[in-house]
Amino acid sequence: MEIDTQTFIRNLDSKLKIFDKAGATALCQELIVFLFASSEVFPLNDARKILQLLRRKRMFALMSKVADACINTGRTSYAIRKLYSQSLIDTGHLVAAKAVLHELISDTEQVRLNDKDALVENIEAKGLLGRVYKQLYVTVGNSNNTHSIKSIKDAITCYLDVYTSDNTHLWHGINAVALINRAKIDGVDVSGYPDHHSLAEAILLVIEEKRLEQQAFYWDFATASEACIALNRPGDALEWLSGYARMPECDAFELGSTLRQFEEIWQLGMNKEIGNLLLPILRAELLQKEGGAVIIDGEALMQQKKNESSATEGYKKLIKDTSIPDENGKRLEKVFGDDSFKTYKWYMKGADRCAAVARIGIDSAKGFGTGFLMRGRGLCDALGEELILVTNAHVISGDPQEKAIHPNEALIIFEALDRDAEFRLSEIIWSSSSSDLDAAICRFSKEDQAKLEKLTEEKKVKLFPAFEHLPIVDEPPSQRIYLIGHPNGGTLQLSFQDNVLLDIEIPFIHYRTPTEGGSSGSPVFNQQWDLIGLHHAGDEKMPRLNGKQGLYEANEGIWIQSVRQKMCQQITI
Amino acid sequence: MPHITFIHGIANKPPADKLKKIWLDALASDQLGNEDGIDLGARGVTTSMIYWADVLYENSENADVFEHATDLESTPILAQRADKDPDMSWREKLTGEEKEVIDSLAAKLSFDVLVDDTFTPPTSGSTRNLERIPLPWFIKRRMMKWLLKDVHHYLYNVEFSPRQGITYKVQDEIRSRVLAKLNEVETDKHVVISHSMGTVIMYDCLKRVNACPSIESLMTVGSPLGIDEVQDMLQPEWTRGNGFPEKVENTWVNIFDMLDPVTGFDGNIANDFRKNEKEVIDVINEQNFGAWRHNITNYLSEPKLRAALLKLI
Repeated sequence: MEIDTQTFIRNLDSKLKIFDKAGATALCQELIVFLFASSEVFPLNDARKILQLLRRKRMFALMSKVADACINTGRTSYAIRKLYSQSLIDTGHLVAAKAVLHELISDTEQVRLNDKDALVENIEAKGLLGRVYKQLYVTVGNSNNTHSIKSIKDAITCYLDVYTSDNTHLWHGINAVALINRAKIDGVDVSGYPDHHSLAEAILLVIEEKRLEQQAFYWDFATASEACIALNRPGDALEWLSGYARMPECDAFELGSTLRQFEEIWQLGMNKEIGNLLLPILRAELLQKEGGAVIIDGEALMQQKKNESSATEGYKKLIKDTSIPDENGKRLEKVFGDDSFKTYKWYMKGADRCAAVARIGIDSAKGFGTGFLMRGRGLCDALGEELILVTNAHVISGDPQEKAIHPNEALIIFEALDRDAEFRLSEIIWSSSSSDLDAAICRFSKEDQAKLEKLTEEKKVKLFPAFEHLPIVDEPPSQRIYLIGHPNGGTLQLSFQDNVLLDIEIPFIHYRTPTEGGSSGSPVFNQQWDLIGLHHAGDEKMPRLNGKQGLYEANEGIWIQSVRQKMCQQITI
Repeated sequence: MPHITFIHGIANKPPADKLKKIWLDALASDQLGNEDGIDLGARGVTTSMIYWADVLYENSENADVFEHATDLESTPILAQRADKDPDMSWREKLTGEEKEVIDSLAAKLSFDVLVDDTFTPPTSGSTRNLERIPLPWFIKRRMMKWLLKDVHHYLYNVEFSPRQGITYKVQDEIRSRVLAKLNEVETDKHVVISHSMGTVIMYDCLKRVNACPSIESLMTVGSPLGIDEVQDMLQPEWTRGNGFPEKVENTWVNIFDMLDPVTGFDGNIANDFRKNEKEVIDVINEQNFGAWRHNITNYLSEPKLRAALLKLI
């Protein structure tokens, strides 16, 4: 067996672009077999590229296996060892990651003065070691614990050592800033460290200079945004963040990392002014990127909604024209522009959709599936203005064969409306079995119907009608599909996921998500947040549509108009 | 499933796929805050773009400069593009009726006063209208040069070499591209949205090319078809009493802005393109925004255009 590395990279890239995890895994398995079976030279730069591609799509377990095969068969370099350690961190193997990093630091330390690659990877490895300790601190989440205090101090030391030895290493510097700030807030003694405000100011100064000289990269913009958080300059942080998101190199992977840093380390929340300003924009930009996914707490959603009008006014005041060149005739990059504002408006429309999304379970502790609220006439005129719950037959059913929750047992909670309010159903108005359209249209108890009417009116919930059209397939630009649901039956949190549309054959819509599959009964939206379907299944081996041969990894939704049509034909009121 | 074919207007453009995306994004966006964006892809409407800029221009634009109002109105960006003024020496070689028609069209477009950098506009006629457009004169002049050149080269089927090794008979080449794209469309619900010079090309094909297939509806936007000199060049097939193309099976909607100089400040073309002497074109006077009222992305953001388009699809 031979492998042409260039062709391999192209194939892997094309599979990863459409989130074809099964296809990417199969390709990498072939590569691993080849690496172990063959003693041929394998270009190390290409091995690095392969690992980077997998990292970008967050396929860390697979990345780890490929890196392991490379190293075990002697196709190794400092960069490959660093990427291996990164995959270990992201799969939670922190002890193993530490061991690999310590060895890498030791090996590169000896030759770094004469070897440029060794120097680069030595610095990177020290930063990653800092990341291991940072992750340990976040995971333990207890600043009074001795191990925890040691972890954050070790992390600060790792980052700070690199930054103080050379202040051009801004990534290390800003992490030191974030962690010193966090340690201070958590009551950890930081008296031995430099003042994090002064560090942030120095970092910002360097980036400003780089920007003026057109030398600033996209990650510098993210670093500058963090420095502005440290300095409590929300408006500036927003401008840098907006410029960062606008850059073509900044994808869902980058923005996802930034969001984690903002939430986990800086602990930004909707209860703080700076979080209020930055988080909705960051989430919006992330969700709009290909493969973006946002998980948000129901309470944060409510807070976001509550602040919407003031936030909108605030953003409007900050909008600047991105096309106006600066004094050097270059386009302004560090600016909150109309494009970011539009992305925010689009995201808030999606966030509005969350209000009508319900968690379905038998008690409030665990969800079993997702459902959503519609006006009855949205599916069948005869149902008029009645509020109905739409979900899968395999989530709520009176038929024991469906192994679903019986309607009498079902407990319905709308996390983004009122997480303490629980609703009960009285009956299933109409259903189609899981082997057919997998739909259950449910009626609330009379008392809860009135309660829901009041709640939806109070909260000004916009219920979504069934959209008449299906998106086009196979014509660029490719259409995006969005799901909102409660992943893994989780409580409290809602997930928004961007999916790539694969195919349509009425009544089925196939799409693929970069992360875990959607929750059964989730509403499926087009890219304008119009309701087009009811999510019901995901499979690694889904039969293809339209007579195409073979199986593929896909999620499947049912066209809402198919549900409507069948229900209207069959229902008798 | 409906299909929309776009055809672009005067001047050089970004590559075809990028240009199509710019048009689609403009239609889908909520530029004016009316919440009336039309996402054609999400509505199941397929689209294609008839691209002809490369017939008259050497290389496609790297950026989408001239598709965005904000950029177009940014004079420093345009000022840096001084090399982009088209060569107008071809006018010197014109003789006879061709010269008369083009001179007359140039006068209608105030071209000859615009070419003079030191010109101070008088306060009468169409020049006064031009003055109402708050763009520097050199930009307006450049626009009119593009229009004059593109119209002439197309309607007189000029032999033109946009780049080394390639020579086109302009009208023949563009007509064949139009026919090829229109023939690819399989649905009966076929709408064409044309802009600027694209409206002239589309009209020419629908009215004057026998092999051109029929379409269901035509939307012309910022069209110079109302200018007498343009109509003269479309004779003998065009007549005022029966200028409506039979190959438009249903509706022709014309959208114009009173301050769009390319329309010759007369966008009400219903009386010029009658169907059996009856005025049937649905003419919509849309007050476009921005300094350059001819801008397609601005037109595509306007509520009346969007409402009319929704009726067509």
